[in-house]
Amino acid sequence: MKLLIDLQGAQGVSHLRGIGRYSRELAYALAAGARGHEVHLLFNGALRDGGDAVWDEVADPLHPAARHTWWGVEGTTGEATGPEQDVRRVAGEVLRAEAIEAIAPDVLLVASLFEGAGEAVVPHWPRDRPRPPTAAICYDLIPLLFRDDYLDGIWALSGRMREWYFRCLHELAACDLLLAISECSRQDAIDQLALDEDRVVNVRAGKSPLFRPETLDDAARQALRDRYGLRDGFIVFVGAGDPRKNEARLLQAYGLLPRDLRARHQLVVVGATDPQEFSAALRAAGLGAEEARLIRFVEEADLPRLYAMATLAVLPSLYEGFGLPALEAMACGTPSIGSRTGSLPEVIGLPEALFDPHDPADIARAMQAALTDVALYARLRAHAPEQAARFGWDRTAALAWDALERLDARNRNGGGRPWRRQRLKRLAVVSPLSPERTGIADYTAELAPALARHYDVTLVNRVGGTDHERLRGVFRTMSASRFAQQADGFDRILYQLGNSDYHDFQLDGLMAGAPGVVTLHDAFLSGHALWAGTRHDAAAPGFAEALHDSHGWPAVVQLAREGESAALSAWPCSLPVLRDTLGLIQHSELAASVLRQHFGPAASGPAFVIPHLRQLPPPADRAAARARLGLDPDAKVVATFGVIIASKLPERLIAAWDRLNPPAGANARLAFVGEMAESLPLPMHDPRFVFVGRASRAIYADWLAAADVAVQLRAASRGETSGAVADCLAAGLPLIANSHGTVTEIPEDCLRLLPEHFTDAELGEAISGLLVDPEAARALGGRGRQWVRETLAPAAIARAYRDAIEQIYADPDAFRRIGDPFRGSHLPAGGADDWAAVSRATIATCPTRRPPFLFLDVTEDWPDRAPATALLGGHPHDVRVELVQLDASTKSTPALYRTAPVRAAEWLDIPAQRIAAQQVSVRRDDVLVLPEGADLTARETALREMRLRGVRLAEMGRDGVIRMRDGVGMPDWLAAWQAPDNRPT
Amino acid sequence: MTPSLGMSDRLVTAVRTAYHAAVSQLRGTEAGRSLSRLLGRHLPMLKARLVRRYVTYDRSMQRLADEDLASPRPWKLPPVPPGLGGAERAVFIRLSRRYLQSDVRG
Repeated sequence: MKLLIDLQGAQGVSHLRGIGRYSRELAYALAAGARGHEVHLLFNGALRDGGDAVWDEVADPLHPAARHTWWGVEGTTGEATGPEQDVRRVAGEVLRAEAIEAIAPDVLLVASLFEGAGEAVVPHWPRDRPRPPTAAICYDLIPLLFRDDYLDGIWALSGRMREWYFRCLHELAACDLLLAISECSRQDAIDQLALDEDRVVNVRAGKSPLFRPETLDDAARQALRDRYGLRDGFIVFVGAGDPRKNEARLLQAYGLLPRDLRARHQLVVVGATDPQEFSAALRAAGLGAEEARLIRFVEEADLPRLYAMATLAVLPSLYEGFGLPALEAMACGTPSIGSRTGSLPEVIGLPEALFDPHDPADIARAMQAALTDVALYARLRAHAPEQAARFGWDRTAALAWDALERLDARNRNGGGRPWRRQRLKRLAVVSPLSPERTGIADYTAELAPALARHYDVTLVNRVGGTDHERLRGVFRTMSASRFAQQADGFDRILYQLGNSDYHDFQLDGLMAGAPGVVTLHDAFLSGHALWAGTRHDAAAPGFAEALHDSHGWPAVVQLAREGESAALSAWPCSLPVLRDTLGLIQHSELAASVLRQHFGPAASGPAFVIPHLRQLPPPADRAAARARLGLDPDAKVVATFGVIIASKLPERLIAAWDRLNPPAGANARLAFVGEMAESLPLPMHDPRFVFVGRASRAIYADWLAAADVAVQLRAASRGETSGAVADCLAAGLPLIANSHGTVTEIPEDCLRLLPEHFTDAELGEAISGLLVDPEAARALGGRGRQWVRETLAPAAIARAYRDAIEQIYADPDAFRRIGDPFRGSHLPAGGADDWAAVSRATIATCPTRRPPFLFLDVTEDWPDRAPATALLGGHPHDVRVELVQLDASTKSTPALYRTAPVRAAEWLDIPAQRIAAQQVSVRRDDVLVLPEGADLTARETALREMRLRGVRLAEMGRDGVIRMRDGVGMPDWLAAWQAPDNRPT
Repeated sequence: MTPSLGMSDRLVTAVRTAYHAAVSQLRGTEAGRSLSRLLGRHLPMLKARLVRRYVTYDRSMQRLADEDLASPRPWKLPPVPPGLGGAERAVFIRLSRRYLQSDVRG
């Protein structure tokens, strides 16, 4: 294997920090124990000494040809401090990638990805190139884990710093392999970044040979005392200067020690703490200035001696990714104690040496025990070198090589994905984005990072920006208006479409104008059509027109007679999307069947079914969530999630709650976590029920963590996928649902499935059953979570997306089928009349998807309208019937037919609708029906034109029977419809 | 009710004012009672929707929109000639977008 290690992390400001040391030590150890593999090092020649110092330190086992240099662009600024679009930095990313491509490693190992915030280190990969098999060292995720101090604390003052950090996180998650420096760090990466467990390996850390047991003579001791102002006995803490290091609580704890113990053991704090802050903290802890000493800098060679002289080393950090000071102190033979949190338990390796870092009294207890319990002190002293011996760079390198070899083998066995001299295709993902409060914005936020493995992703929304922390700064964003002008520059376009007004910007011509693949989150777009129809701009058709366009007159009749609500829930209004879309993606078979049912095979076309995705959330702290929500720790809590509407059967859940057997207890709660979107007679003031209302993400997550059981009921589903159901399963929350809609596509052992039409008693029993048997509930929740992990993981879903998108675009007829034969052609500029004429000819030549039409010629009155009216108002979903008449006004040659919406309303006995007459667009196997005995001479030209386009002529008499003319047969669709069993009655 | 940035407060106020004015004018009549019932049922939801859509959302979107000031000429749906069917309308929009609005000419 040819391994290339990018050592910029050891060149920049991190060269003095643990990251720099770790990078150098690991690089050396990998080179020294290379197992016959080639090791190459990559430096940025524009940084400091061009990497000379680092090379000198690690070059010993390497051939000079193993040193490679690329040059970052002079004047490159920090990603968080320079201009937002620093062309020098972006160009640097490309140059680095070119250099790496030229070296052609089998695996690239990046020593540190979290660089370049304030300097010219360029450790990130260009967005538009496939990555080589890449590994990176994962030190910790402290800014993410301690958001209040970092991301939402001091870093919040500069949004750029946050953006830089999330870009780094994105890069980290995009790696094929992470080498974590501790098990704690490994687990954090898996939990926080939702990574597969086998992609993150704990390789631990080693210690420098500088740190070893050493006996100091009196002169050496005195020299150190003089140099640093030390007393004879002291407790040492190395690493101060960061709130996470918990220095203040250590000082408080020290202040709690008996005075005589303090008199015998000075506290020595080593680190970059501000002296004035240190003095203030001393005063706050009631300590005299002489009791604790701050040393801001210790020579590297003096540090082992300082440890060796110390009576006790203490590391009170709230969190460490590894905790090198603890290992180094133990390597020097110094008894060491530390926090019970983060990685320190695995580094210190002795339970009785641990304390709660949040509790000064417990820190004091541990220090006092270590200093006064002779037996314990002896155990700590004996344990220290034994434990330290378990960590070594050779061991770390061996673990790293094992993992790198597995990655290389996996890559070779998989054929090795091509990455050199390749470019990722440019994909525009057009979707609402946060802060737009829609589930589809959340969906895109989870999908986009996974898609970035396969495409160079640009996000398009209405305004061209987002506040989502995992997207902002990571992805290019573009406004819909800019996209409309630049859409042809994208290789692929993907729309995320739903049934709300958040999708105005897509449906108002953008999808028609720049067609692509559409993920249809809801087969029904009638809600949007209704909303759009109320707007005052002329661009959007009215609701009646939208119903007519998709479904014909039966839908309009229902609107006129039963009102908007009835039409809204009965008719999807999604034909324009089917017609103008290259390919459809839906989340369930059920949703796909809804479209087939409403539009028939001719109009709906094939759809790819890709399940909804869900990233596993990190394991939650149930007790803390309950405390935040003010819930009794022992109370039984049942919750239902998502917007409260009648079709989610909230009243049935309340009825069942009264029938729990055994009852859930006086302090039990049934929580509705979601906004009330319909006025329902629910007992809002009954203390047994909690109506949370629209919950923030944090509160929503707390309820997922706090609940014992989730219940998600549903009726009148239209095939939409419930994000709330996925949330419950992903959280490992045991779930009860009724057998309705897409929930039936989840394996039965992952949830408790009730009959679709369940009884209150059945629901009550299911809830009680899980509440009284926590083991069974836990097992059920675990299976649900595992299913989400295996099936709905964003990486797997993104692969399915790639396959679907590529298959759709590979279809040579895809663009012709949506009436776009001009893609890639350079037509001259034209005017509206030109494009209208071209449009008519295009649809005649390249017909788009739509159901077959039966046209009823009403140029002259029909002797008996009744049979034809029955067809007009009662045709099946996969057929359309329209009244047409010769257009006397047009001067076109040949004479054309136009639709006759006013006549249609009159025939159907409904008020005239806001539906414009249109020129009739016909295609092969449509049928034009004339009244029996109609005079054909007046329309000879038009009929010849119809015949030329494949339209078959027929006539209908008073008996309502359609008889074909010209000796042609009935097309299959009409024959099937007119079969005796299928006729409208 | 064309969605446009920054009109949120006025919109919510207008809805509330219109509702109260209508109900008070019709107070005591059957029409007033019907209106009260109708709006009583729908106003909370409508109001919540408007607040969400036009207040919370618009303020943050306005800020984000400001970031896209470099956007070139705004694209608007071209006026579609009357009488074009749905399929032809889509083709018309596509051609207009591509050949009238883009820089690709001739």
